[in-house]
Amino acid sequence: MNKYSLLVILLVILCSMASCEKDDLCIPEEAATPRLIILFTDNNNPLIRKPVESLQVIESISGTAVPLNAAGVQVLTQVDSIAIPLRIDQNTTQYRFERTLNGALNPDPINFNYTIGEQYINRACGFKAIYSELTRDIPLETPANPWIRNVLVRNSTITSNQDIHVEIRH
Amino acid sequence: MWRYVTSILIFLVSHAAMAQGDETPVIKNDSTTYEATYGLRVGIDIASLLRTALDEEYTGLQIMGDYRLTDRWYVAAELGNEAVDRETNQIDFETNGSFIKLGADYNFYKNWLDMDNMIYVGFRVGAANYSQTLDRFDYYQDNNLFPVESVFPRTETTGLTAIWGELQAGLKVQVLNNVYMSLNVQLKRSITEDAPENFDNLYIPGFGRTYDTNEIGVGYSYGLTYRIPFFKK
Repeated sequence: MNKYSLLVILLVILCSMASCEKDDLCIPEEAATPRLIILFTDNNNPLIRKPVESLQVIESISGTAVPLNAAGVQVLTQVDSIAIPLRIDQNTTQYRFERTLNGALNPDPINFNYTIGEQYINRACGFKAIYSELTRDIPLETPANPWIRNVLVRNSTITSNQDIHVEIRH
Repeated sequence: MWRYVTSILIFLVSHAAMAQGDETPVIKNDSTTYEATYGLRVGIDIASLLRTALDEEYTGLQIMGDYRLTDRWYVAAELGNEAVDRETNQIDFETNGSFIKLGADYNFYKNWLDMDNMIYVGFRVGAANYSQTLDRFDYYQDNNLFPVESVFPRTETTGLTAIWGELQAGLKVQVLNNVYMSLNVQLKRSITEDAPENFDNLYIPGFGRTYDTNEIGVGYSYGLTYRIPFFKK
């Protein structure tokens, strides 16, 4: 066997090996930064879920409507649970929960405070944020006309979209 | 002085051969007999030098050597240092460290006359000591409501070690008297590795890049080596 043909064969193998490294792509189904999962229940009987007739959530600082589910829908009708993002650039997210009932708009503000941590996912996706020490505070409304009766933190650690973190009674 | 060294080595090797009880040494009077050269072959990996020049995220140096034990078996080793400073979409990281590989090569090629080439398969056990630095990351989010936040933790984890097993296939060809060119491809499997806290080894010196889904690594080298001839047999 000719030794130079051998060298050429091996070089070809080498080059093909170097180029077959496929790019790393983050698959969207991978666990991303979890959202705040909110459940709406009946204030008179908290064991029963109570849907909101028509709901939109506005981020107070930017005034933009936030996605309420994984599909990114911003207005939901007859909804008893939503999944909304929390800010990563600061430890507070200020929201206005706007209910529309019989054509009347009623916004109620709720602020969520938390501590941000990071958790490694993988090479392609990098890190996701996880939240802990979740608390809520309800700024005073003037004039006071709340449709939300009570806001309870059910799970103060937010690591996945599989838990219910906050319960809103109305 | 070399005369003494070679004499001692000849004595030792012939002694070992007798002890192993192979074939009884025959005194060769035939002047047309071709003798194989035994010696230490040392050299440098051109591939990592080329990559250092071409890939600005990579710096590496590797020296390699082998020593002929028998007609077909060689003990072999590689020693090197690699630094990678890589930027990707979600993560920027740095890896810096040294590695050593020890093992043996088996020559399948039947040389004619005074040729001295190898088509070989070898195995190695590799070990690396390195540090991993997380320079930057973006939080991965499923929406773009809020601006993407880049975080620059610059956390360095030092004293990490990794051990792997490696198979090599390649060839070593004599291009000039006692000068060899070698090419090989490497398939590796991680045995143990220390991962940084809340992070992972994205690159391991000597092992190469890692994969999330398996323990396999691949590599190659392209060596230029010189053999210091000790004796002929």
